[in-house]
Amino acid sequence: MTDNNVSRNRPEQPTDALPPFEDDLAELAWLQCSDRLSRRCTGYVVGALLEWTAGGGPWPDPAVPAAGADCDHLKALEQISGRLSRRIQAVAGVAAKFELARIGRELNLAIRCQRDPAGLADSLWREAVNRQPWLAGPPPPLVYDDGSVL
Amino acid sequence: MADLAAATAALLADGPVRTEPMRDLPATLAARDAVLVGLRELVRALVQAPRAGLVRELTVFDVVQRPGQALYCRSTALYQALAELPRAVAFGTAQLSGAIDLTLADYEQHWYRAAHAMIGLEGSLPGLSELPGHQAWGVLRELGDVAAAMSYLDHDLAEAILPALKTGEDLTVAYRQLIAGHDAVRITAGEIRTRIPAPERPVRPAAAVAGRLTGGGLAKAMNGYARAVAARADQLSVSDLRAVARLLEFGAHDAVHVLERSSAAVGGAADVVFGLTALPRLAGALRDSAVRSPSMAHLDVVRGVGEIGKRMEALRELAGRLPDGASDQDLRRLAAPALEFAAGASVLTQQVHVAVRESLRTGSMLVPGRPSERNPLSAQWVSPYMNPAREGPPAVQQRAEELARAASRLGPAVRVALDDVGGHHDGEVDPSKRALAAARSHAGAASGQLRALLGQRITDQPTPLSATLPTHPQRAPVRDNPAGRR
Repeated sequence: MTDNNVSRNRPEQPTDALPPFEDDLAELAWLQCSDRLSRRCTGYVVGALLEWTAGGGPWPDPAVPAAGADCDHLKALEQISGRLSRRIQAVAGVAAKFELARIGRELNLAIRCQRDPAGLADSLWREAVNRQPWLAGPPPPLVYDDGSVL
Repeated sequence: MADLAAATAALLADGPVRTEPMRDLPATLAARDAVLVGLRELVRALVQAPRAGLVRELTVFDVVQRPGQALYCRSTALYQALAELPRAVAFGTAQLSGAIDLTLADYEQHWYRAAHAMIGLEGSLPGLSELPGHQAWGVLRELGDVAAAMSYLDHDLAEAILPALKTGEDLTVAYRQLIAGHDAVRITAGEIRTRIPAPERPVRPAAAVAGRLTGGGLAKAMNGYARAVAARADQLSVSDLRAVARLLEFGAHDAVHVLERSSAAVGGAADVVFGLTALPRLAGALRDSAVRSPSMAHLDVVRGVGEIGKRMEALRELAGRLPDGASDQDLRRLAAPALEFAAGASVLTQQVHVAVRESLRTGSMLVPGRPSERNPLSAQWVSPYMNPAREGPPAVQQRAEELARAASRLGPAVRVALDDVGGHHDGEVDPSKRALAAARSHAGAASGQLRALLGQRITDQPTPLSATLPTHPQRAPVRDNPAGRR
C-alpha cells in the first residue's frame, strides 16, 4: 500500500481532495506522543501505525497536525479516521481496502477509548466472549429428563 | 545454586533415557561450555586461584597427599583439573539464546537452564572469596557435586551427538573435546565429595507442586515473543521497538490490575505488583523515544504483540468481572497467567535492551543529533557511535536499560508468587513431578536430589570417559588414546 495507488484511485472531486496518506500517518506519529490523550488511546494509535508498517510501510516521521500543536487532539484523530473511511471507499481492490480497514479499526478503538474507556472495554469483552466462550464462565450442567446431571 | 543443581540433576536423569534427536546441537554445545567455564570461574573465585595460564601442573601429590594437610590445595586442584577440560566448541562460534525455546526437547532445555543458572551465578563471583570458612566449604562441596557430574553430562552429550557425527556433520572436534580430560576432574571431585560433608539446609515442606495452574500458554507465548525479539538482534526497527514497548506498557498495567485483585489469595503477589507498577511508565517512555531506523518492521514482533496484548486485556476484564465472593482457587487461577507475563517481561526487557544497544552500535537505529546552528529547527539523525561529540548514551538506550533493570528486580517476587500458586493444584499430581518441582524450588532439595542421582549414576556407571585400562594389569597402559574409550 503506497500513496500512489491511494491517489490513483482517488475520486475526481477537487473540492474534497484528500491530502496524501503519508501526511495523515505523520500526524498519527506525532499524536502517539500526545499527553492530552490517554496512554491507552495513544497505544491504539501505535497499533494503527504498526498495522501500516506490518504492510510494508516505513514508520512515518512525526509532523504537527495542520491545525497546529494546540488543536484538539481527539478531533484531529477523528478527522484522520474520517479521511481514512473515504480512502477505503476510493481505493481499488479488496486487499488494499482490507489493509486500510485494519488501520481504521485501530484508529476507531483509539477514538472510542478516549471518549468512553469503559464502553470500549465492554465492547471488547463481548467480542472476546464471542470468540472464546469459556471467558464467560463454565457452561451450565446438562440435566437429563430424569433429573440426573451429566 | 539451586537452579544449577536442579538443572544438573535433570540432565543426569534425562541424559541416558533421551529418545528424541537433538535439534540445535551448536547451541547445546555452547550451553555445555557455558556451564564448564562458569564452573571454573566459580571455583577460581572461591579459592582465589590464579588464572589458568599460571596454574602449575596437577600432581598426584595435590590430589592424594595434600588433602590430608591443606584443604586449600585440594580446592586448587579442582580448579586445575577443570582447567584441563577443553571447550567443546571454539569461543564465539555458537550463540546461546537468552530465552529458552520451549519447543526443544527436554534434554536440550535442561542444558539451557543449566547454562542460564551458571550465567546467573556470575553475579556472585566477587562475593565468593569473602565467604566465611564453613560456608565456603559448603559452596565448594556443591560445586564439587556439579564437577563430579560433568563426566556423566559430557558422556551423555557425546552419545547424543554421535548420530549426527555418523551422518557426516562436522562435529569431530566437538566430540573429541567432550570425551577428553575427565580423569583429573573425576578424581579431584571425588576427593572433595568424600572429604567435605554435604551442607545441611533446611528444606521447606514440599508444598510447591507444578499443578495445572501454572505452565499455561502465556509463558510459552512470552518466551516465543522474546525469541522473536532476540532474532532481530542488531536490526531492531522503530516499529519493533514501539510494538514491544506498547506490549510491556499495557501488559504490565493489566497484570498489576489482575494481581491486585488476586493478591489476597496469592502470597507474594503484592511484591510483584510493587515491582510491576514501575514498568508502564518506563515502557511508555521507551515507546515515546525519538528514534529512526532504515529497516522495516518484523512481522513476528509486530503481530505477536496483538495476541499477547489481547490475552492480557481479556484477563484484566475477567478480573474486573469476577464476583466479590470468588474463591481463593479462582483468584489463583486468575493470577497464574499474570505471573507468567511478569516472568516473561523480565526476559523480554533484557532482550530489548540488548537489541537496542546492538542496533545503535551497528547504525541500524538512529537518534536525533544536535540541531544545526544555521537552522535550529532541523536535526539530523545520527548514529551515536559515529558522533563522538555526543555526551553519554542516547536516551533510548538509557530508557531500555532502566526498563530492563526494573524488570530484573521482579524475579524473586515472581518466583515466590508462582511457588505459592503452584502449591495449590486442581487434581492429582504425578509424584515424580511433585519431587522434581520440589527439587527445583528449594535449594536443599535440589542439591539433595543432585547428590542422590549422582550416587545412583556412579553406582550404575562408575567411570565414564576414563582412560582405557590395559587388557591385563601386568601390561603397559594404553597411551595412544588416553582420554576416551573409542
